[in-house]
Parts: sequence; structure tokens; C-alpha cells
Amino acid sequence: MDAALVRQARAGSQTAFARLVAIHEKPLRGFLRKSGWIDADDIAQEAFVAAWAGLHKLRDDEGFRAWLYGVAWRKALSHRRGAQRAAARDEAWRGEQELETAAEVGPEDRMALEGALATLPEDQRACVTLCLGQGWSHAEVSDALGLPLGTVKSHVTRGRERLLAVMGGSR
Amino acid sequence: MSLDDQLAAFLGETPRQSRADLFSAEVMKAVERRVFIDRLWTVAAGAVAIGLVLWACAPVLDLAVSRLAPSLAPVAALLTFVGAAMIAGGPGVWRRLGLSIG
Repeated sequence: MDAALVRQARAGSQTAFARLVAIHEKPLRGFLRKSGWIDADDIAQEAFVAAWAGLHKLRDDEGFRAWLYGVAWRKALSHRRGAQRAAARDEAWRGEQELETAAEVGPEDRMALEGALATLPEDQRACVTLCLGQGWSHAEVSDALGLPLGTVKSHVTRGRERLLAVMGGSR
Repeated sequence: MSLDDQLAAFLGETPRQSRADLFSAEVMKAVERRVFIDRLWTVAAGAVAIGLVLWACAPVLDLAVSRLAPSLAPVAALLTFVGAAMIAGGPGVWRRLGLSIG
């Protein structure tokens, strides 16, 4: 589905690109927020604009999603500032409020998970969010984030264990 | 519901729909701005290129213009007069000449 829209967008169709934005913006912003970036919306917006400008660099049209997330991830890493990260801790709760909260997760578990997620290294947090939260394969995540496949697998395994331990512990 | 399912639900949370349209609009506005700036650069580069060509050809063009100018002067004067009249007359004149747009 993405491939046809990517081809049209590459030919200059802003309507097709708007469709791609509509398809991918929510999961991308969700991923960036869960990965701990408080300025997630700005990063996502910059990533989309960069994607529009760099569509000609995309070799596999079907791989648009992984490519877009890779662009966003590199943008996020370049946004990293010590002061911003400190301020982000204070505003994290406010940022989380803007997400559609899953009814399946109770308030205690949610607080425990948010705390535990914030303590994970950023690579691990991103791997866990994409694989466990958005159902990506390890290979897709490896491709998008530019991490070795083995690293992605170990990040997901360790991250999952730590998060599940926190959930179990809050009961 | 298993702990894994709850974890997946938590990690898969996405922003509220109410902000989605606004976000998309902002992105497309930024894209349009980008397209506009790209076009502006293209046009500017084209203008510079044409300017350079004209500058390089200036001696030849000077000769051509100096030969053609005397014979074209009456036509140019007439066109200038008509143009001035149309601008001074405003849309009413345009309509009467059948040149109105829209």
C-alpha cells in the first residue's frame, strides 16, 4: 500500500504524501514518545519533511515505514541535549497524558511501567517499543535503527524481562 | 489478559486522534514551504544563469538592439500607450475588451 503512495509522492504528489503522513504519524509519534523524547512531535514533523525531501533516496518503496522511522530515530538522536533530557523527566507525565491510554493497563502498572521504561537505555527502549508495542520484526527494527540484529534481539529480551518484572512486582 | 498483552498494549499506545489532523496539517504546511523554497532556489538559479548568458552576449545584443530599436520604437510606444490606458481604465476596460478573467 505504501509503495504506490511513495511512487506518487516521489513524482510530486503532495496528496499522496499527506496520505502517508496520515497513515504513519500516530504510530511514529507514539514510538517517539514511548522512547522518551519529549519533543516527539517536533522530531516527527522534521522526519516527515526530511522524508519528503529525501524520497528519491529510498530504494525499496515497500520499506518506507522502516526508512521513515530510521530518519526519525537519527533526528531524535541529533536532538539529544543534556538539559532537554533533564527537563523531559519533569514533563514526561504531561506528555504521556496526550496518548490514548490502553484500558488493559491499570494505573499502578502504568506508573511502574513508565518508571521502568524511563530507566532503560534509549536503544533498548526503542527496540522494545517497536517490537513489543507495534509488532515489528527484529529484522525491521535492525534495519530502521541501524543496530545489529543480535543487539536488537537481546535488547528486546532484556527490556521485556525488566518491564515484566516491574509489572509483576506491582501486584 | 496476560502480562505480555498488557505490556504490548502499554507500549503500543498512540497519540489522541484529536491532535492527529492538526499534526498532519502542520506537516503538510512544512512540506509546502519546503517545495516553495526549492522552487524559489530553482527559479533564482535559472535567473542567474540567464543573466550570465545575457551578460556574456552583451556585445552582440547591443549591436542587435541598436539596429532593431529605431524600427520598433513606434510599436513600443503604441503598446506602452495601450497598456497605460488599460491600467488607468481598470477592470471596466478589460471587460469591454473581453479580456476579463473570472
